[in-house]
Formats: sequence, structure tokens, C-alpha cells
Amino acid sequence: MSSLPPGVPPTITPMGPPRHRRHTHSSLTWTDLLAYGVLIIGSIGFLLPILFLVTGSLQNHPTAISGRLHLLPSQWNIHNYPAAAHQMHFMQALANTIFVTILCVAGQIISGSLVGFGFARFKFPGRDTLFIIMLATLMLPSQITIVPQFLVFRDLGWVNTYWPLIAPAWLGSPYFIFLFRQAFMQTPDELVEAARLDGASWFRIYHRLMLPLCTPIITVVAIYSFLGAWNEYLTPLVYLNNPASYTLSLALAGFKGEYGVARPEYLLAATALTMLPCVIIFSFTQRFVSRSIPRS
Amino acid sequence: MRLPDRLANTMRWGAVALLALAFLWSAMVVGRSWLNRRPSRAKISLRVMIWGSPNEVNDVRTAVRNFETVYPGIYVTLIPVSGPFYTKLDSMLAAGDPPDVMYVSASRVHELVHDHVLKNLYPYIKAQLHKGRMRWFHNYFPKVINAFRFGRPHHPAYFGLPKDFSTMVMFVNLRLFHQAGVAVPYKGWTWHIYERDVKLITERCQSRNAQVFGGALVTTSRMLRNIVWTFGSHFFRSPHGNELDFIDYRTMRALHFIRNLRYRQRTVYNRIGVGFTQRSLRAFLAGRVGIIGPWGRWFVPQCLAEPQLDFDVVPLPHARNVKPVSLISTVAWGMASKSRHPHAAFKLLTYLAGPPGQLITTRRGLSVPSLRSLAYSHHFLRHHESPHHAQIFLSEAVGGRIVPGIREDRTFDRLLRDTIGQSINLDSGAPEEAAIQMAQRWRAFLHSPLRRGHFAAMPWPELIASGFVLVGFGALILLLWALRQRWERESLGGLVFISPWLAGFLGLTLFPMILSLFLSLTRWRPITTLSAARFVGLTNYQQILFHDSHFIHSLWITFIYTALALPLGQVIALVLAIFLHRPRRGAAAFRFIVLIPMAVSSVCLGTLWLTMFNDHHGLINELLRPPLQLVGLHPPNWFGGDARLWATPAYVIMSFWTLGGAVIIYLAGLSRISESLYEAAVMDGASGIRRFFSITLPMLSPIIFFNLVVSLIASLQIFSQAQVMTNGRPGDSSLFYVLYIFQQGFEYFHFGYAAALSWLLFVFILVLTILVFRTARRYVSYDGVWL
Repeated sequence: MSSLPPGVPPTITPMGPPRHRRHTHSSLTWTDLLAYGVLIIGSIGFLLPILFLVTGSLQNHPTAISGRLHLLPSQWNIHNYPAAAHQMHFMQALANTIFVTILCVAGQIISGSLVGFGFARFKFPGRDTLFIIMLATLMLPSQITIVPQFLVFRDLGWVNTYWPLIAPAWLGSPYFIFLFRQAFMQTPDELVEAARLDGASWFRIYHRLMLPLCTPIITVVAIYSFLGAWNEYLTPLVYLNNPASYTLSLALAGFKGEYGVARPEYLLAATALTMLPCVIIFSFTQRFVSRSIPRS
Repeated sequence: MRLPDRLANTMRWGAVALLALAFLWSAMVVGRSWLNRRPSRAKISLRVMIWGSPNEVNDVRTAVRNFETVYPGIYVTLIPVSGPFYTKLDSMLAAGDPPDVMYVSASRVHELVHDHVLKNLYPYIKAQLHKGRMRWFHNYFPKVINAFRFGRPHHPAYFGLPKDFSTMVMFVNLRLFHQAGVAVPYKGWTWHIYERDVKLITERCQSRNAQVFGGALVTTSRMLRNIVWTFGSHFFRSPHGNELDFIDYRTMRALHFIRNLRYRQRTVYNRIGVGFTQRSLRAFLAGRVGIIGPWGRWFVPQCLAEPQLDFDVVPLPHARNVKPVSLISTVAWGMASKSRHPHAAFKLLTYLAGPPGQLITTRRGLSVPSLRSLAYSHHFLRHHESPHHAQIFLSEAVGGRIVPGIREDRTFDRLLRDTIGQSINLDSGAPEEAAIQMAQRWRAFLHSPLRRGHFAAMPWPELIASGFVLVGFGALILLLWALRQRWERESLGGLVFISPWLAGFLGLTLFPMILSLFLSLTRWRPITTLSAARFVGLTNYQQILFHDSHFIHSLWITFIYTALALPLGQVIALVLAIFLHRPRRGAAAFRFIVLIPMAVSSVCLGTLWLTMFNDHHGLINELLRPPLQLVGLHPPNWFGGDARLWATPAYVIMSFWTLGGAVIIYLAGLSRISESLYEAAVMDGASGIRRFFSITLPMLSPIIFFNLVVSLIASLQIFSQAQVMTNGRPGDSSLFYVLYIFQQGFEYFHFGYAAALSWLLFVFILVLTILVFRTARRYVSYDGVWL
């Protein structure tokens, strides 16, 4: 077993994926050392701004407006959190966001994998053209289709409802379709052929064979679509009119007044609160991302 | 250490149960608020749209609730918009479904009136006055209400009733004045005395902890106008004309005065860069600035929240032989011309803009009530939360001046920021050169064919009809084509699987895309309905390609950004993923860490990263300074003086922070590579490097390809972080392409132009993506065989 390098907290081991150790060296190899060097420096880079965010959210007001962020605040001011939560109506916004996000994630996984499977495993006339068209829809900046899209959703009577936020997720997003397609294209043909010879229907192959093979990709799509829906800003801004139905990102924007952020420490505290559910979800899901699938 | 399977299973089901519970709870809360949201008895429903700080929103909410108790038949929805107000308003107006009552700022009212968005309130007011009601109408400050008065002298038209206003004053820190032994100029002063005072304060009040500045000048476009006025000059030749009168010796004197105090004498706050105004205001709140201004009443509550700050307000300084003049900034309540219940909306409007509504907002002290009786009453003046000399806000109104309204106010401000602003806010270039440039650009804008030309209305009915014909024709051809193909059951199965996307594409995406293509051939302001669009042919494209310097510039920096961020980012992500993939101690924690930055909402990015990139005490420069000093260099002022070169690299550095997404995609790809391949390679005696190049890379190539294409599209469309952090500033150094589209579309209301810009970007991205696809055949292998 390798010894723990300095700087790695000891609490992190149990979350690891099931281990398939190839090397059973008793000491660190040079590659291991290099890897730890890169990872430690990398994680410091990734975490420092987060650390600033957390300490910034604990500052008292005079330090916060001085514009400096201290790594360790002189006073720990935990009251920023309840104050910020109260100001942004946190519980209501949290419930709205969870509702929208869960429906979006479910929709993205189901529709993305279905359509990705269609593009990857079937041959039909015009398939590649359709695929290029699908990618091309990403290339027009969404900012310019806001207004025309609003006309469509207004005619559907969906303004001031959650439908404009949820329905597109159930109709597949090109990014996730593309990702699923790449994954499905990589699975060996023999597996599918064998299943076909056994008389399995296409849906059965998709459901029983392909999806289990793609657990890591599903997790990635889940994480991505979760973050996308959780932090989506422009769509809720345009479509939601009722403050009681605002999502967290809209409530966050409420801290920005007309003349800038009056209480930066509240904004940081509110951001930390908004991030918390995401971080909890990550801690659950990240172990699926890298789970090796034994195959023969 | 490996979890026992049963425990892992329990945890998995526990997580699922937790998720189900969370969903159930959220659905219940959402359902409850949905059931509560509309009282069933209300016959008339009105929508009120406002912006503002949480406190201001609360005030308006209180006023609206009071109104509902007075008029039980009317139900009011309050829509507070935090963020881009006009993005939302435009969508509603374009759809012909605007809010009934909304905020209208004096600087936008000309545009809104020109496009018939607002209703003339005068007929309603006249009827009320006739009945002997609404006597308080004559009680408004004349200058303030006249900002919303149009029409001829005897046939007035009012397009808004002012809710409040503010004159510009100087805020002074009494403690610093006292310490420096300087008299507080309550009776008015000249710029000459100002110059002397800031010098005295700077010299006598330095403390060891933090640098003290004698003064800070707010030089946003609006405040800069006020400063120029106090030097006896104007930007425009006549009050309502478009003719610039820039190269006036008094204007130049004002600009030189500012530059001299900031960069030569250094007695005025001069830490340049994005967020300059915000930082100087905070420095005042922290007690490190003696005098700040020109700034308005809205700053008072923030000052009062600082217990250690002893402050007051004084009039603006002025040049000798020039009458003191203060800019009046005002916002009104306006009514949409499309309101379905104009009478009820007028009732609400008069309630909010009249005595009851203003009484509520006066108590907060964010602004000066626009009704004279309220302004001179104890509610405003002897309010316990007010600076001692609050009456200065009122006395300044006597000589106050409204910014003469022109329709292209935003464009003008923009040009001012890019030319004069560069000179005085970034210390680059002489004011004279900047003024000449400004005059040239303004003239070019005024004479552009898009603005001057007369164009026919867009033939929508014909277009729609021909669209139907084309679609029918296309469908026919498609059908004929499809019938000639060989369709097996399997092929139909494919169509069934992709049907969700097809439905979404045909139902939700195709129409907006085609409509935006049509709009790119028009001159259309999104505050009007589509029927008002004018057909301009290819003029938009012509203007963009041959006359728009921003186009080349923004395209260039977007390319630079992509060229740096895309390859570097992908390599870093791949290296991290390979190190993380090997099961080693701590890898799980690292996998978790790289994801956390992705959870930070973009709303907060500006606050966080502008502090990190701060020139003086930002973490990045603190880290860079020691090593760079060894070789005699200084770290760049990223979003300040060095922004032209360093703003884009700063965004590249920021983009690395959110690489976690690419890392987990690579990880997912790596985990799907079969172990047996490696085992076979080890048997054959392949080295680690060889294994990487002949197994890992080819097996991963589909995922690398995916990440390349997706990141290419995404980085060419960099938008949200740029918008919340710098919004293109300083100057246009961070004006990325999509940001430019957004500003053209929603800030300057040139939507047709923005659509044309978008379609050009579409073509660029399409060409680049096709190139990536073409080359893909050489390095992407789907069955793991490199060859």
C-alpha cells in the first residue's frame, strides 16, 4: 500500500470506486509522485476561489466592502447565512429549483439516450444529414432566438409556467444526444448482433444492454444537466413572472441592485447555499463516473 | 477499502429514496404556491414590472398590496426583474403582451414613445382633473415631470408620472474634513476649491492601514455629462439636436481637470479597471475617500448602514463664472399602450406615483419624492435616517437639468465610454484625440444607411404564405425522396428512436431559427411588434462586414480566446483525467474537487473573480508578483490599463477553472476501455507510453472528438461569464462576439442587426465544425482500431 502523501485529507478514501489494483508496489513510483504533484497543485487551483467564496461569505460587512478577500477572516460571521436565506426566500426558491431540475435531468437522460441510440445504432436514409442539422442548431447563439422562442411559447400558453424550462429537456438536447451517440457507437457490434439473433427487440437492446453499459455516461449527463438546470438564468428570467415561482439563480440575481452589489457578503453566502445541494449530489454521483466495467 | 456490496446497495436505495422525497417535497411546495397564486374573485388582473434592490421591491410590494385592499376587484402581479430588464421587456413587447404598468427611465422614454410602447396619460389625467380629483398632479417638480412631457405646448402628452428623482451631489466624509482642518462647503464651491481640498485631505489624512484619497470622481457617461455642464459646456450644440459639439475648450478643460487630479496629482481615487466606480464607492463607505460624486440620493441608505461613517452631502462644485448645475435623474411609472385594462392600470399608476405610493418609498430614503409637498415635508427632510443637509437635494433641483433626451442615448453612451472614457478612466490617449474620434464615430453612426434609409414594411403575410408553399414543396420532395429509399423495419425503428428530437426540432427550434433569419433582413426594434419591422435586404450584412469596427474586433478576440482556451483546456483536462482514472488513494476526492467550481452560479462569478484579478490585492497578482519581480516585471492590471492585451487571457485562465466537466467526460470515456486490452499489451511488453498512444488515445478518440466539437462551439459563444464580469469593458477589450450580439439586440434595440451578426457567427462555427468533422476520419476510431 502506498503511504498517504502530505496534504491529502485522510477522510477521502472510502468514497473511492471499487479497486482493481494492477500494481501492488510497496512504495511510490515516480509516476505516482508526478501524479500526486499534478493533482495537489490542480486541486489547490480549483479550490482556492471556492475557499475565497466561503470565507468571503463569513466576513462581516466592513471587511466585505473593503474589497479585499481574506483567506481567514478575523471574525466568523455566520449570521450572513440566515440573513441571505431570508432575503432570497430560500426554501420556496429551493423547492421550485428542485422540482424543475429533477424533471429536467430525467428528461435529458431518457430523451438523450433514446435519440443517441437512434443515431448510433440504426442506418436510415438521411441519418447523417439529420445529425449535422442537429449539431447546427447549437451554432446559432441562443441569445438571438430568445425573442422568437418566446412567441412560440406564448402561443402555447406556457408563459409564467415551468413548461418552457422543462419541455425542451424532454425533447433532447443536442449535446447529450451527441455524447450518448459517441458512447453507443463504441460498444462492440457483436454484442448487438448476438442479442438480435436471440430475438431481442430494439427497445430491449437499448434498455437491457446499452444503458447498463453506459452508466458512466448517464452519470455525466445527469451531472451536466443537473448543473445546467440548477444554474439556468436567462430562460427563467424571461418566462417566470411570479416571484413565488422564481428559481434559485433568479433569487440570487436579486442581490444585485441597480448600482452593483450592496452586500457582497450576502451574495457570497447565498451562492454558497445555492451550491450546497450540487456539492452533495456530486459526492454521491462521482463514484459512478469512473466505475470500470468488466468486459470480456 | 471496499464497501461491502450490501452496504453499497443500501446506500444506493437510500439515495434514490432521498431523491424521491426531495422531489415529493418540492412538488408539494410548488403545487401549493400554484394553487395560491390567483384569488378566484378578482375580475381584473394587472401586471407591474420593476427593477431595483430588494428593499425597493419590498416597498413597491407594500404599495401594491395596499392598493389591492382599496380596490378589491383588481388583482396585481408584481414582476421584479433582477438583471437584464430589457431582455424580458422586449420578449413581452414583441409578443404583444407587455406588462400594464412599468418603470420608465427618463433616458429611455424617448425610444419607448417613438415606438408607441407607452400610452399617453394626459386624457385620463384631464378627465380626473375635470372631476376635481388628482389635484396633486400640479404638485410635481416641474422639471421632473417635464422629462416625461411630450407634444405641443397647448396639447401636452404625458408618457409617465415620475415616481421619484435625484439630483447629483457630492458626498463628504466629515471626519476626514475635520481631520484635515477643511471647512465643509455647504453653500457651494468651485472646482478650484475642490482641487485644493482634495489635496489637503490627501496630504493630511494618510493612515498607516490604507491609502486615503482626498476625492473620488464618478465618471460614468451620465455623471461625466454633469461634470462637463459644471464647466459651462454641453456635448450637443442644441438641447434636442444630434449635432455634437465636442471640441469645445470648456469640455476639454473638464477632461484635463479629471485626468490631472487622477493621474498627475493622484489626489483623486485612481485604481483603474473594471468595477472602478463600485470600488471607489466602497472605498468611501470604508472611510478612505474624502469627497465622492457626482452621485445621487440612492447612495444614502448604503452610507447610513455604515455606523462608523460620518457623512453629509454638499452641492456639486462648478467652474468660476458658471452657474451651478446638477443633473436630475428620474424614473417614472408608465403604462403600456397595449394594456388591456387601461382604466384600472391608470388607477394603479396614480396610486403608485401619487401621494400614497410615494409616501411609502419616501420612508426608505432611496430617492427624493417627486411631489413637492412630500419632498418639503418632515417625511423626507426631518426623517431620522437622512443626512443633515438633505435639503441640498431639493435646492439643487432648482438649477437642475434633465439630460436632453435623444433616441440613441445608449449608443451615444457607448461611444462616449469607448473614446473619452478610455482617456479619462484608463489614462490612455489625450482627450483631444478621443474627442475627435468620438465625433467621427458619432457622425458615422448618424449617417449609416440603416439609420437614415427609408425602408418598406416587411411583407410578413407574403412571407408566411410563400413559407407555407415552400414548406409544402419541401415536404413533397422529401416524401418523394424518402419513397425512393430502401426502408426496412430497422430504418423505421431509427426514426422512432430519434422522434423526440425531431418533434422538438420541428416544434420549438426550427421556427425561431427561420424567424431570426428573416429578422436579419430587417430593421426591427424589439420593443415593437413584428409587424413594425422594415425590410432592408442585405444592408445589415453590408454594414457589419464593411463598416463595423466592433465586428472585426469582437470576432478577433473571440478567436484568440478559443485558440488559447480550447487546446490548452483539453490537454489539461485529459492529463487530469488520466491521473485521476488510475485507482489511487485520494483520486475520488480529486474527482469531487474538480467538479465543485461548476456549481458556482454565474451570477456570483463577477464578485468572485474580479476580486481575484484585482490589480492591487487580488490573489492572482499577489502570487505572480514575487516571481515576476525577480526578473524586474510587474503582473498585468488584467481588467485595467493592460486590458487590451490581458483581458482575453484572464478569461482563458478563468475557463480552466470550470474544466471539471471535460474531466468527468474523459473519465467516463476512460472507464469504458476494457482492462483486458491493457493486460494483453503488458503481456506483449508494451511500455507505458506506448500503451497510452496505441490503446488509450484511440479508444478515447470518440470522446476527445466529442469534447473538441462541443468546446469549439461553446467557446466561440462565450457569453455569460463575460456579461456578468466585465460586460465588454474596459472600453471594448472584453467585448466577445455573442456579448456584442446581446448588446446590439437588447441594449441598443438593433435586433435585426443582432440577428445578422448571429447568422454570420453561425456560418463561421459551421465551417469550423465541418473542418473538424472532415479531419476526424483520420483520428477517430469507433472500434478501437487505430490504423
